[in-house]
Amino acid sequence: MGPLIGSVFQYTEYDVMSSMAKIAPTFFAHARSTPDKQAVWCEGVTANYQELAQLVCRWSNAMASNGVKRGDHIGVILPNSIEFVALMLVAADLGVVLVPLNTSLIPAAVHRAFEVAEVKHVVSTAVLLQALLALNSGLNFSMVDGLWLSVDEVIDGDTVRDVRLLAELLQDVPLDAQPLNAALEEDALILTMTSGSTGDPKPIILTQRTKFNRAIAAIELYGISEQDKTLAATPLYHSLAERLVLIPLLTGGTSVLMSKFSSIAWLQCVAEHAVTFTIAVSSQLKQIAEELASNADACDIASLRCIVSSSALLDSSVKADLLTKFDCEFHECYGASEIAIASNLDGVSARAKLQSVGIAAPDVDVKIIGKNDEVLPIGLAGEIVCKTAMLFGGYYKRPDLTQAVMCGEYFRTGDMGKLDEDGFLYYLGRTKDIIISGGINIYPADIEVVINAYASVMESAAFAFPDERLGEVVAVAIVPVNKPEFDLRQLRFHCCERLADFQQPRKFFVVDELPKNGMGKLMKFQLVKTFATKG
Amino acid sequence: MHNDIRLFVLGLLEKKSRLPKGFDDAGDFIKAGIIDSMGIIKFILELESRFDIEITEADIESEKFRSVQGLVEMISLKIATGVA
Repeated sequence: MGPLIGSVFQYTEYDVMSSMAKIAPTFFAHARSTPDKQAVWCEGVTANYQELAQLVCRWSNAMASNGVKRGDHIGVILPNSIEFVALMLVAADLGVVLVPLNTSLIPAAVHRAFEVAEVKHVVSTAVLLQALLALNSGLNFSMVDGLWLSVDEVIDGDTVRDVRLLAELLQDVPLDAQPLNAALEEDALILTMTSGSTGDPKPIILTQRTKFNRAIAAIELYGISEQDKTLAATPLYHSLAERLVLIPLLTGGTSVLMSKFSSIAWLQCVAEHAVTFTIAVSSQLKQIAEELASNADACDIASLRCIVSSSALLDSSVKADLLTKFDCEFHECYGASEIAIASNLDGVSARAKLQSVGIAAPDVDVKIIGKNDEVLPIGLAGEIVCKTAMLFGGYYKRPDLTQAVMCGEYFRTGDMGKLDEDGFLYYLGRTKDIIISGGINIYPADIEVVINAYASVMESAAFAFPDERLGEVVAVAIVPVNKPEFDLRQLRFHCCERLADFQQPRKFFVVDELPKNGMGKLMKFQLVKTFATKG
Repeated sequence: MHNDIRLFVLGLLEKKSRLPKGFDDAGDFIKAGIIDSMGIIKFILELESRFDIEITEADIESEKFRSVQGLVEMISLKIATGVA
């Protein structure tokens, strides 16, 4: 058992109530035992455990007395900040469900996500709310009829909803407000937005138990203690950063949270805060390795004890390079939003099995299945399926989709792979139609819906295009209505207005027709083969 | 006009991220990660669309394309000389 488990169960009031959620009580236990210890740093702002706990308690009580009830859904459009960290703990205490959204989504996409996720309240910043609630946006947010909260400033000008200010809400709550302890383990804590094949949002339910189990699994796998300073350098609307913030707060350690990533800023942050542990997106690590190669003397990364690569697989050459550059424990993990970590490759094994993504993580069972769901023998390629305690709680209100991705108790990853005789897993490719750019999942259907709506386009297909920096970027093949008169620049403005920044296509190929089989089905692999290898 | 451009650029940056303490018009928004490789395409298109200009590869690689002050100068010049 890791150090966390001991500290959780010395608080007997939680021990006897096994169905009570554990995230908030565990954090508050650390706040009681080490009130003066630094809990979180974010871009020059710090909070110790006492200060963070006080903010969480007051915010939680303020929400409750302003009509926010256990089970309510809260739309969250926030940059990485101490307020976002506190809000996660407020949700864990109050039993509400956060629906974190990418801050670059256009207002219409936010509106759609709020509808699908049945958002009742919203927490954001003045700048982002002003853009969302502009009178001329043509969007009606009447379905979001609860509390609208700005965490920083009052909004200038008129908006379609009244927005309260967090500071004003907190004024009515005493400084010694206590936790509400209203949440149960089975309560949803986060709805993570993904997209289905039709481009409709498909929220993933992550319960309090799942989020807790995922943090514990990482704590045990990477041997994290209260001594560690854990860096999160990805947006908090992703489950990776959420886990990276919960890990220190559940172990009594320190969270170091960057608001935006750049390789230089990351290296400065590691040096300045003596960061000991982080999980980074593989494309970030690649940029960091490049920075280290050109500027090694100026970078002090001696504090790093353990570093993990996540979200997209590393090229073997980059992996080998990183193993020489980081003189610390190095892991690569393979997984998915629905299951968190499936396999782990440690640095020692990586040297012997460079092509592998490691062995199944503790308490995870990995199998390879064939077309008829039969378990395949060692060495044969098939779909990777996983059984794990970190499993998601299903797709929100889509039991049909949830059932479709399960094979008994095993989650179908949609990835192809094989196992070797030592239990090492090899990733061989993807069967799901998805583009992974800088660690962010992008759904081609989301792009195609927008491009096909443009009057000069007859049809289109979005696909993954290899990219040095981001791993993959969005490419689009377009069949125009009238090819000689087609204006690509105007289409790009159309995409700019209707797609978020991470969804913007980088490569456009204007073609006469899309490759289709005899049944008229699009053969996307042909596009990839034709264009994605030419550059 | 300079001030309109400046406010528009600042507005785009603020939508991406809270600006770091002490960030001013000479601050490097690329180095600070406010505009990263993920966000740069939309950032460029928003500038092109708003000011009816074209931003080239060379513009993106220039020193001016790193600060609010530099961008204001670059965009003002493009508007004044009708380079679109």
